[in-house]
Amino acid sequence: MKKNRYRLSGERSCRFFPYFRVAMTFMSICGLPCMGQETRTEEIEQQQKNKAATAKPDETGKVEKALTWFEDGHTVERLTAGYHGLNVRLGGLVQGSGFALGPEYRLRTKYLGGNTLVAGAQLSTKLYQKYYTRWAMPNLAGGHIFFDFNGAPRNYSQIDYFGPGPHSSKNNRTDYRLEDTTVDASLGVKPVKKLNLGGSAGYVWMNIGPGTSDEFPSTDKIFPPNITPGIDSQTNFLRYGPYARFDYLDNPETPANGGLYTFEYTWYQDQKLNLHNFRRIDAEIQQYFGFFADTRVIALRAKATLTDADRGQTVPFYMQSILGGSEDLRGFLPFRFYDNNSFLLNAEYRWHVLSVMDMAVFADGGKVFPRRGELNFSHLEGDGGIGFRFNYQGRPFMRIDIAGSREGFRFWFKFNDIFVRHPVGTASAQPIF
Amino acid sequence: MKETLLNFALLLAMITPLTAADKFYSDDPLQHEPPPRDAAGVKGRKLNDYYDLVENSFKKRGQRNSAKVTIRAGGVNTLGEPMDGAWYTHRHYFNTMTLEQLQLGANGKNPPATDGPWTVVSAKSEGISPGFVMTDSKNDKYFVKFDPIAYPELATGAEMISARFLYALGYHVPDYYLIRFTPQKLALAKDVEFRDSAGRKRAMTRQDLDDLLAKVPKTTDGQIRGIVSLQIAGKPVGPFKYFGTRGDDPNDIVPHEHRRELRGLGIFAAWLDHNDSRSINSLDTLVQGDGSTYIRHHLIDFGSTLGSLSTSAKTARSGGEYYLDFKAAPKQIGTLGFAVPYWAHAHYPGYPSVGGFEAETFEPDKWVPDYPNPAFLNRLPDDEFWAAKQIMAFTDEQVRAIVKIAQFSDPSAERFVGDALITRRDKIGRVFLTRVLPLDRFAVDNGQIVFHDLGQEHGIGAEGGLHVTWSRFDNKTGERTPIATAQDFHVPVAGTGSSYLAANIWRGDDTAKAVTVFLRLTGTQAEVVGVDRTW
Repeated sequence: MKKNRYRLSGERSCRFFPYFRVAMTFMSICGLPCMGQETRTEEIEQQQKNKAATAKPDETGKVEKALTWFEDGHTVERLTAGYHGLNVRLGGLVQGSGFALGPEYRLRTKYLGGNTLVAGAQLSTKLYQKYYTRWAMPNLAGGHIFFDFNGAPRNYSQIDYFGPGPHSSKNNRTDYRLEDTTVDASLGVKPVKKLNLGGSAGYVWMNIGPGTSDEFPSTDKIFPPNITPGIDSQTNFLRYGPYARFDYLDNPETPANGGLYTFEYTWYQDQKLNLHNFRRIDAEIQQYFGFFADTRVIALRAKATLTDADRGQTVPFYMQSILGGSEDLRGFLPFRFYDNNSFLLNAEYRWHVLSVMDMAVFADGGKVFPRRGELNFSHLEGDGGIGFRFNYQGRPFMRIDIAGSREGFRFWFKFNDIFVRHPVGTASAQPIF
Repeated sequence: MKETLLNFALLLAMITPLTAADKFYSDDPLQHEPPPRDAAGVKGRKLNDYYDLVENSFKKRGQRNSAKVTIRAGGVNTLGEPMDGAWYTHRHYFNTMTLEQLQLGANGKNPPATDGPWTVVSAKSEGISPGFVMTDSKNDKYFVKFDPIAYPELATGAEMISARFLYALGYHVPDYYLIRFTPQKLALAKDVEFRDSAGRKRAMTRQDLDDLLAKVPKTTDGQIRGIVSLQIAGKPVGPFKYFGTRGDDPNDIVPHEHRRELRGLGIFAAWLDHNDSRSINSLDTLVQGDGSTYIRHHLIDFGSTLGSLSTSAKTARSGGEYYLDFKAAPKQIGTLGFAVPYWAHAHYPGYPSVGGFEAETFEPDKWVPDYPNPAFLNRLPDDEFWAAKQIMAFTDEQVRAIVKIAQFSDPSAERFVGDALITRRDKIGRVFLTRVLPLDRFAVDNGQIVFHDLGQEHGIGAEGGLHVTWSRFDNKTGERTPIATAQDFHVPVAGTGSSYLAANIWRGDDTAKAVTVFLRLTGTQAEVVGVDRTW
C-alpha cells in the first residue's frame, strides 16, 4: 500500500490524513482566529512566538554547498585560465585521431595593442602528435592592421585514403602517415570594419610514411605513384598568396543573420623535386537567414577548392582537396574523397528547442573532381541527417549530428561548429588542418 | 503511531478554538504588521543560483495550488491587502504618488557626491559583467554597474525604470542613480581585493580598473555611464526563497509561495519582463525598527528587465518559456520547429538601448520567468487582480515620467519603451481585471457603500448592471441571514440587530464572480472591515 508522507514543517513530517498539512497552512496563513486571541495583532504575535520557539537556521544541503564552493572558488575560470598561463587542452586534433589532450601555454600581453602567444603540444589515443605555436597581434595601428604567425610540426600516424577521384571505393580503405612542419605568417589590413585584406607566406616540410593501422593496409601498398602522386617521394613547399574576407555575421559564435565570404589564392612552389608546382583557390560563402526572432535559422554554405598545376606538374595527393567527415559530407567516412578540386554545399535548418539546445535538419552535397571544368552541380554525393546543438549561456559547445548516405549512417559527437571558421591565410590552406 | 496521535491532538487543539472564533477582530483590518519580534540572531546565508535553477526546474517546491487544493494568499489583512511591514508598503495605488515622487523612487536624494574622487573599495570581474563598489566623499557606499558594450543605456536604463516601478508598487528596493564620469574621477583604495579573469584573488591595480572600464560603452564626449545603487540599510543575511519560510526568522510565518505580494510579483514581473525574478535577486537585511532587530526583504538587481539581459539584449525566449521547458521541447522536436511558439513572432525595434522589449506578442497569462517560481505559480485570480489593479493605476503620463529617468539619448527609444509599457499594462488589465469582479476601494459614504468599479474606469468588462444583496453576518459562526428589504447600496443600518453586515455584489448574471463586503456597525456608523472575492 502506498503511503503518503506530508511534511508539517521544514523538519517534521507525518503520515496523517492527506489534508492535514493543507489545513495547518490554511489556518496559519488565512488570518483566521485560531488560538483564542482578542485581536488580530495578538493572533499574529502568537504565531510569531510559536515560530520563535522552534526557530533555527535552514540547513544547506551537501549538493548546494558543493556547488557554492565550486562557484565561489571560480573553479571554471581557474581551470580555463590554467596555472600562470599553463593549461591542458582537450581535443582539437584532426578527425579520426581519437581523444587528444596536451599542455598549452598562453601568454597575453598588452604590447602593440594586445597580442597573444600560444604554444602547445597534443597527443591522441592513436598517437597522433601535434606541436604548435601561434603569435597573434590583431589590433595593430588601432585595429586596422593585424599580424599572425603560426608554426606546427605534426605527425598523424593513420590518415585514411581511399584512392583518387569521385569514384573511389569505400572498400579500398588504406592509411598513411602524414608528417609535416609548417611555418606561416600573415599580415593584413582592415580598411573597413567588416573587411579583411591580407597576404601570407609560409614554408612546408613534408613527409609521408606507411600507415600504422592494423585494420587497413598502408596506402603505399595499394596505390602506386601514377595513381597517387607523391606517395613515393615528398617535397617541401614555399607557399604564398593574398586573401580577402568579408564578415557581416550578426554574431560570430551563433550567427543567425549575415554572411561570411572568404577568398584565398595560394601559390605552392615545389622546393625539392620540381614535380608539384601548383596554384590553389579556396572560396567559401556562408549565409544565414534567421526568422521568427531568430529562433529558426537557415544556414547555407558553399565551398570550392580548385587547383591548377603547371604543365607536367601534379598536385600531390596529400595536398589535394578532401571531402568526407564531420565538417563537410557528414554521411561519409572522414577523408573519403581526394582529388585536385572539390565543391561542397551544406544547408541546415536550425530551430530552437530549449535554451540549452537547438536542433537541425541538414543536407550536404559535394564532390571531388580532377579538372576545374567539372565545377558544376552534377554528380554530387549527397547525405542528410539531423543534429542536436548544445549551448551554454548562448554559446554552442557541443553538437551531435547523425547523417545517412549511400554508404551508411554516421554519428558525430563534436565540440565545434559544423561551419568551422578557420583562420585565413596559408596556415589554413592545409587539406588536413 | 505516537507521532500521528500528537499531530491529531495538535489539529484538534487548533480546530476547537477556530469553531468558536470571530471572523473579524476589533483591530481589523490591520494596515501595518504588528511590531516584529527580535530576529537579531538570524544567521547570514548564501543560495547557489545554479542549485536554485535545478531545484525549481526539477522539483515542485513549496505547497502548490491545484485543482484539488486551493489556498488563498496569506500575509494579508481582512481586506485582502498585504500590510505595511517587512515585505511591503502601501504606495502608489493607495496614495497616488506625484510624478516627482515616482521619479525619485526609493529615495532619490542621495546620489554620489560630485566633490572629490570616487574611491573604488572592491570589485568584481566576473566575465562580461563588470562592476565595483565605491565610496564618495560622504563615505556612502555604492554598487556600480554598467551597460554591455554593444548596448549603451540598455541595462542601466532598464534598471532605473524597473526599480522605480517596483518601488511604487510597494516593494523594498535599492536607491538607484545614473552617473556619468571619466576614469579620472575614480581613485583606487589601498589593498582592494580583486578576482581577475583567471579567477585568482589579488590586489587590484589601476590597470585592472582601466581594463574593467574598457569593457563598457563610452558616450560621445568620452564619458562613462553607469548605474549606482546605495548600499541597502542593515546587515545583509542573504536572499529569501520563493517558497517556505526562513527557519530562523520568527516573523516569517507565512510560506512565501502563499504571500500575496510574491504571488502578485509574477504579474509585475510580466509587465516589466523581469525574467530574472528569482531568489538570487533578493536580499534580506537585518534592520532596526519598532524596538527590535528584524529582517526586511528587498528585491534587487533589475538589470534583466525590459529588453535587457544585463550583459546583452534579451532574446525572444525570455519571458516566453523557461530555460528548461520540458513541456514545450517535445513539441518542438516532434514538429521540427514548425510549431512556432507565440513569443517567436516578436519584432524588436532595433534600438540598442531598448534591446529585446516589445508589447505586440506579449501575452500576460503566458509570461514566465527563467525558471519556475513557486509563488508565481500559486497565484489565484484574486492575486492577479491585486497586481493588475496596481499596474492599471499608472497613467500614461506617470509611465512616461518613470521611463524618462532612464535618460535615453534617443527620444524615439524613450517613446518606444513608454508605448510598450502602456500596451503591456493594458493587456494585463484586460486579462486579469476581468477574472474577478473588479470592484475595489470599498468605503461607506453618506450611508451608502461606495467603491471604484475598475472595470468601468478602465473600460474593461463592465457590461451589465451591478446587483447587491445584504445579509446580517454572525461574526462567531459565519452564518448569514438575508435582509430581503435591502436591495441597493444603502447600508441597512436600522433594525438589523446585528454588529456585522455582508453585502454580496455581482454584475449581470455572473453570480460566480462576486465580492462580499463586510461592514462593522457601531451604532449608526458602518465601516468596511473585510472583502472576500469569488470567481
